[in-house]
Amino acid sequence: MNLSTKPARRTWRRIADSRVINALAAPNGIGRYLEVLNPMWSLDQTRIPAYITAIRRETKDTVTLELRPNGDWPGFRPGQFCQLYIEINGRLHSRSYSLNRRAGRISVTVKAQADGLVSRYINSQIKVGDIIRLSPPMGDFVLPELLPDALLMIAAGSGITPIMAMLEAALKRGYKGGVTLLYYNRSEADTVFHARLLKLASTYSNFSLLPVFSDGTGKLNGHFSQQHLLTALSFQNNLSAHTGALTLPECFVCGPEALIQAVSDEYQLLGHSEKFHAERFKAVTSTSGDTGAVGTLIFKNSQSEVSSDSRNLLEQAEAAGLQPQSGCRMGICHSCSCLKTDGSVRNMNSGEVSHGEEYIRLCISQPLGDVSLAI
Amino acid sequence: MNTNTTRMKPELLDAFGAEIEAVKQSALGDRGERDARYIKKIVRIHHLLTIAARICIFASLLFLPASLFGFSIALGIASWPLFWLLISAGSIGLGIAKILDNMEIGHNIIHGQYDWMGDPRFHSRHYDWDTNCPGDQWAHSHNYEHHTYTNILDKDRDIGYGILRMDPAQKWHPAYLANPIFATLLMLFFDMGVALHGVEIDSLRSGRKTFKDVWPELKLSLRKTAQIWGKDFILYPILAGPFFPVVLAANVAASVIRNIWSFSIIFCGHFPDGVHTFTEASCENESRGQWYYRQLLGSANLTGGKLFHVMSGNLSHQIEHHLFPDVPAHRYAEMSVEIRRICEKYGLPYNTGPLYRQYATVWVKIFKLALPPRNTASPLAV
Repeated sequence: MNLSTKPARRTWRRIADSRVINALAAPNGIGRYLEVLNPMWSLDQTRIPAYITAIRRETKDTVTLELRPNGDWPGFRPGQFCQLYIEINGRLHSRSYSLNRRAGRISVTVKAQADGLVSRYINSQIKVGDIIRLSPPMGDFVLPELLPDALLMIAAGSGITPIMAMLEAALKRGYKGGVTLLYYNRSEADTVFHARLLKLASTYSNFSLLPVFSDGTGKLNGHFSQQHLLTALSFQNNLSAHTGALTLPECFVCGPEALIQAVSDEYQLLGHSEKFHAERFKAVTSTSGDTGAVGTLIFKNSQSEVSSDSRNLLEQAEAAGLQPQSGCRMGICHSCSCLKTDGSVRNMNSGEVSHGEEYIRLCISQPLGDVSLAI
Repeated sequence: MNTNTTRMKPELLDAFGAEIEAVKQSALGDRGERDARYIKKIVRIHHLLTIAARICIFASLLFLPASLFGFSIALGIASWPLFWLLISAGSIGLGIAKILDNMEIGHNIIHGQYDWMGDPRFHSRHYDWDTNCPGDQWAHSHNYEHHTYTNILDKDRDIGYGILRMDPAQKWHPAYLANPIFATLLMLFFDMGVALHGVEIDSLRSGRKTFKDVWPELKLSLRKTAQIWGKDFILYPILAGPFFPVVLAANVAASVIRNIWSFSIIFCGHFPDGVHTFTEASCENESRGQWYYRQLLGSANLTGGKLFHVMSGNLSHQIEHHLFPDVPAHRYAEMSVEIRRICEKYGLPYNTGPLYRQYATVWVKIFKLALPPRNTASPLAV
């Protein structure tokens, strides 16, 4: 089931982005001129501008943004995510969020994390009419082209977002098989999409919702266990009847590592690992201590990795046999500036910590845990 | 003037260095929306000015007598001033746009002053400017070599750019008799000069490199030159059809305006009277304080209004630029207050003056150093 619609680029964009027109605007191209006239006329297909058309509060610490990207948006498959590029105090931050559709618009749902600069900004500062930028959609945590007879979905907290996109897409397209959602939260008040899920459950008889609350107020409580799995299988839609007593349904899980591991173990135990699909939401590496924590240093372009220490990344890259560009080795000339695709580093001059995808200067960056570099 | 950086007491140098460093850290810590808004505003002005100037140049063609004689001779003659008004506005506007792009936008972005924004459009690795030298080559020859080894003889290739004699310590040679002519040519073709300087073309003459060593970089540089000159001297003129030469002339004028202006500002950065140069030996194992001290003595500022500072890419604050090459340049003016105070405190010179005065001393030097040293004393003497 492929819900993505990949429309051909609009004619005017194709013409404007042609070689001749870009040559007239050399060296940086015509798109830069167009976006000064209207930000939505940008021709940058890696950072597509999108208007925020509506903001909806889901729970006290979660909001949904409805987005209208420009014509370069390629469409997405439910379950995929994209990078949101948001400028906060002059600085562009990027974070991954799952994509969904809401009232015909693209939407992302964001839960404010206690120390999350971007997620808190989205929850409190962002306004309707603001323009942010989106990467093209990515990820292969998607429903298969041919839907299986039964689906088991398991989510915890904000891990519901890709699951919700898959669930709604399947049900709205007339999926007739049984779907059960096992959904873990602290309490009902903390449950993102609670009302929307209840409505889905009452509209579609083949969908059963199994909320689990850790505060002990639900029918099911605590963490994922075999008992939860069995309950889900025997639930009203008769999932197990479809699949046979020892057969497990195709399963999609999104949540913290512990949950994914627990479900994975059960599937492995029962010999159905191939039906298990998971999406990890990686938390930012902790920034503890004054000396850089030892972790893994991944050089993506040269496809190698080494274990890191607290020296600067330039020295460590050179020690690993790489020859990244470098210059003054004191943080002045920016010759060694390089894209960090993942992980956190500390600027050894200012002490500032950089998280996630960002450009850093290797000669004055100290790794904090695992770091991936595009060199 | 040749200086030994060890003249100041080490503990004083350390204290001086710490104070300069504090000014830098406070500016870096304060970077934020204000800087982002500023650079976006200048880029916006540049883009709009470029569009307007190019429209002016093409609009002027409508008022060329030749296009109107068909209707009436009187109309043709009457439109003559209008043609000149539009084509001048277009050429000067395009020249100013190129100056903005090369100096306040390109030079400063390629220095990495806006890398912290995390936006490829303003990032040193991604930005390229509207001149012949590819941005990444410039980043090496300028950001690294010139800014790290500022005014160190035989290390900083910006002393004389390999063709001029700009320091008495450079050994005289009869070819330097043409110093003023070389300087004038460099001024008029500054875009090409910068591009060739970036590939160290002068090292062919000195035998330090062979053509084979230079070729890979030279190829990229020529490709970039073809891109920029192709745009200004072929593509836009072709769009004008029979008026090809008119648009070509306007675009050449814009480039020359940019060349003369950039040359003038840049030569006032390190060559006016009173700027010091250093020997390689005196800069070995430099402390942070010594490094700042050398940058201060090796640079000179220009006084002027706000618009002048913007048009010079804030290289009018060459001293602050050399102390803090990666601090957003629009902050130099406010930082200079503190730097002057620190200089006074430590009794250090702060070389500054109006453009006409500093520039005059540069040209005096260009002429004077064309001639061999008059006395037989060591050329290293001050």
